[in-house]
Amino acid sequence: MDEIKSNNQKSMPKTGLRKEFDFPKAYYLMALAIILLIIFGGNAIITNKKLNKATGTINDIYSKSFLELADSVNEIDIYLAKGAVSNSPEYLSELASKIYMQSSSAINSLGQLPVSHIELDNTAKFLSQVGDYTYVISKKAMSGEGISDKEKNELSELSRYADTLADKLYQLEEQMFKNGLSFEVIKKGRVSTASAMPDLGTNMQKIEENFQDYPSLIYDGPFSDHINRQTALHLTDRGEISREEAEEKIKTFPGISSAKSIAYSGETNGTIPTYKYNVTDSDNKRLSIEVSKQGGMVVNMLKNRNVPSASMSVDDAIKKGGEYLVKCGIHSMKESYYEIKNNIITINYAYVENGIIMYPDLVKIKIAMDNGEMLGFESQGYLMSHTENRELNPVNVFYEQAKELISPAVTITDSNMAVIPKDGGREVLCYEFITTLNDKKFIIYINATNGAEEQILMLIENNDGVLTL
Amino acid sequence: MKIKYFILLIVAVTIVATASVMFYDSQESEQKVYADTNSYTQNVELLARAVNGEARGEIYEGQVAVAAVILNRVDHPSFPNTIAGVIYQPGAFTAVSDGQIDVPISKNSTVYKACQDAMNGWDPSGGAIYYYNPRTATSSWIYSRPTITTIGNHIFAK
Repeated sequence: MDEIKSNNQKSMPKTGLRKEFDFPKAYYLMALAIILLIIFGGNAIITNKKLNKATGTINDIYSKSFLELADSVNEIDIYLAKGAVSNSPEYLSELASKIYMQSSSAINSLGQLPVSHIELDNTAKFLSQVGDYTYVISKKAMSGEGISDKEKNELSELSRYADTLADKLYQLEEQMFKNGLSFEVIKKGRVSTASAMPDLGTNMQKIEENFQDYPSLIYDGPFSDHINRQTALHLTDRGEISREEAEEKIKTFPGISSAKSIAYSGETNGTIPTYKYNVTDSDNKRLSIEVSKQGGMVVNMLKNRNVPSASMSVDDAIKKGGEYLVKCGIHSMKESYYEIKNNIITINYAYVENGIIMYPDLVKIKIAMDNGEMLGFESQGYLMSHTENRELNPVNVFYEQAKELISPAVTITDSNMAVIPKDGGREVLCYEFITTLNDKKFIIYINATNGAEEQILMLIENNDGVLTL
Repeated sequence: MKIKYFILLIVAVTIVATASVMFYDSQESEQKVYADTNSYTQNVELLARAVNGEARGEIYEGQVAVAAVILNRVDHPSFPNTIAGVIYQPGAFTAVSDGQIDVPISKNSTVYKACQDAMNGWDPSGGAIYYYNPRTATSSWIYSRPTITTIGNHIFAK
């Protein structure tokens, strides 16, 4: 290098320019390139390290969820097997509580795994129903009702599924400890080659295949299959209306003040099939409204408008709501709970018959507290449950007896009779006692037939309304 | 002599640059905003963030419908039993995987009001547990689900 340099020095003329070129541009560029390389390269290495750490943590969480799922299912399997040979309602009740807890944990763990819903639809349903169903059966056993043969069969079916699921998960667990478990989503078409590592998604899909014949379970619990198949009681005997008739209905709906235009916007095929319309109101605001195909009743209405201030009292708003209901042809309704947000009040109204409040027959109305305009209407509860021919449980417990059953710790301030909905969609006629304990308000419902405590609600009252928990 | 300066220059600039990048990185991660701790308001806040991520430009009842789908899933046996469980279920909502779930929502926003209506029982989705945008849906399976209704860009299915 030095030799070449000295040769160059000898051949080049000695001018002033050469002194300024002591650090040629090439060196600057090279310096810049090296600096950038170090910065970006370094950054890439650091980022990669962070990424690996994060991926590691996520995989740990997934592994934990998977192992907890396998563990819970195993416990459920054992408890169900014991339940099949138990002969005492008390012990069955104990098992049911344990199964319920494990089923909750299993569903929770399953929900944390990176498996698409398609791959675990029935598996998840099984896990939800097993806790629910066993709990309902054990309650029946405890109340002396006894378990029917059909229920015994269903319990042994559930036990069989638990067995299969526990087995498959255990096999997957073994694979996981041997080869590791991949939580990566395998895209369709791409075959998982190279690694002998099983992937969760594909394996869960295989497990789901064992649940193809999973039976439909109908029982008195929130996850029973009948919950999603209910039909609207109030509309059953009514004929189907045409779109023209639906439009006429909308024009007479009290919430709509001289509408400028009504446009059909499609239909829905849900719990209550409806015709949908978009309405432009006289104030140029848009609202949406749905009318049931059967019976032509308004199912819901929504208008989004900013309400800058409130100039109505709560009582006036409640009265206004009552007037709207009468105009809709819905009679004998009494307000129960309400909530105020952004100067709009949402009021719940329940049907009252012979002094009995029918809580399942619910209509909700939103009223703007500046001009009393109806901004929302929701009557699905009423349409699903309201019927003139209600079959209620008989009153075998008198008021005074029911009062005796209330905890001596509370002070009773008011009482009523009411029909309340239970988890499985069942309705129960009860005595409703409004009570207080240490400045907290509680509503206690006593079954009018057997005096059982059916429900206790905690009331939270403040300026924004009444919340029930 | 010149090479030493050269190397010194590179090292100095690298240290300064790396230090500033790391500092900047740590600043960014402090900016997450967490919702209220009261259970009811917390649930509405979380719901609002999810609906905002999924249905921001939709008409009002379209936003209520998306919130209703989430609530319907909570009650459905095939899905997790909590609002957080349904929203954070891996792969369920793009708003979660692309970070939009962390964008704070004003309590006066339309989305927030839509979620309150859904929590109060309004369900323009007709009981749906699925919804998708036919123009962007990648899963072919979702098309096999029976359609309940269409609102704006979304088809709601059961």
